[in-house]
Amino acid sequence: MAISVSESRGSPSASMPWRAEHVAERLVEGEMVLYDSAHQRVHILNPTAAFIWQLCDGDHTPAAIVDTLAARYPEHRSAIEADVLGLLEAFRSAGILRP
Amino acid sequence: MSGRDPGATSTAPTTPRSRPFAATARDAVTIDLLSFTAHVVSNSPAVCRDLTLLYPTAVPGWPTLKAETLARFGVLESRDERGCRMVQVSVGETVVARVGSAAEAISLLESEIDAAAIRALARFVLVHAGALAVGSSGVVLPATSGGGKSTLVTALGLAGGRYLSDELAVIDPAIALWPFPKAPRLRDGGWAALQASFDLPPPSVVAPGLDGAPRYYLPVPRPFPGEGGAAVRYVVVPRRAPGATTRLEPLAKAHAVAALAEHSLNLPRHGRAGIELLARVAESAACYTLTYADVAEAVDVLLRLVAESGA
Repeated sequence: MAISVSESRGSPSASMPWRAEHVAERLVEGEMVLYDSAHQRVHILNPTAAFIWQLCDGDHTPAAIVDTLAARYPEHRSAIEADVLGLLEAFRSAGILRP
Repeated sequence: MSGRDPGATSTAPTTPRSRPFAATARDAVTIDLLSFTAHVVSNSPAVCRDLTLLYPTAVPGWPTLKAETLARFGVLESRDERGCRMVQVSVGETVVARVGSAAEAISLLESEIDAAAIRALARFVLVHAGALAVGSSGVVLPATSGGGKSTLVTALGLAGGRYLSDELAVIDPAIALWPFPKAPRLRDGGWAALQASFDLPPPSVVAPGLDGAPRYYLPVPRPFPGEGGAAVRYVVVPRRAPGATTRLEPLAKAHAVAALAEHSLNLPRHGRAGIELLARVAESAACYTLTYADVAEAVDVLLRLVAESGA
């Protein structure tokens, strides 16, 4: 699977999570391996977290990400919202989103 | 490891405090580490002898590459104005240390040479790992210092595996493992563990590590011969745990990639291409964790794994 490359689309917004340029990603048997070259750390995302990571493209608000996931499982919306917001916060804390 | 870059021919700088008491003849040792060459000048026969044992580049069959980078080092023994022995280690024209014995100088020089080689071997992805071949199958064992990989790799070499390195997996873009031509080095615990279970040769060199504890350098056990390296077929993350039952467990390939990346010594240099390479390594290999307390049992389990898979 080819490595995806973050494209430059202009200034990031705090409300539009956007993958940091110093993070390389590679899908390996359904799990996403993230290599943060700035901090020399590796993260592994399960398929759901990898899907959310892919939506961190500077074009989706956290609410839009929740909407995308909840469209499949509307009865679990509140849990999905908590998980998405928690994961985005984890991405920020890890330094793998653009500031 | 030092961040100094080697420069031009090294000569002993003289100061009022370090002027050699007596001039003696100097010998030169050339160390070939794939495409990196270290040229060491020394007036100490002991240093020259020990370096050729630590870096046995005359091992028959080990592949060589065209030298692309040359670094110069110097180890000069002298006595100061009080008659005390002093050994000066230099990298290029920079004196990096003055120590009291040739053995200490050897340890320091080893660290400098290895650091320079790691900087120079830029076209390879380098992983802090044991590496060997069983048959034609390359095996990579990523682990931290003190994790037992030197002991395990040495034991595997004594039991029939082909030694590539006890500390540095050199992976080329074709995901083949190359040897890092250096003698395996054991700490006290590893030396004792192997003596209990294997017919060990006497150490070629015993020298203090940078922490002062002894290090035992062994003759290279069964080096991997041939050109082009060994295709990586197994990634095994060793976990030595006192009292543990020896067990081999499948490791998800993404976690194998993470283990390789976390132990890489130059991954930032390769960036996205480097993580792509490590992913291809894991995808083409069978990946496991190996938990063990007894080295001999660990060796049996690994060799049986390779034999049963028909490699």
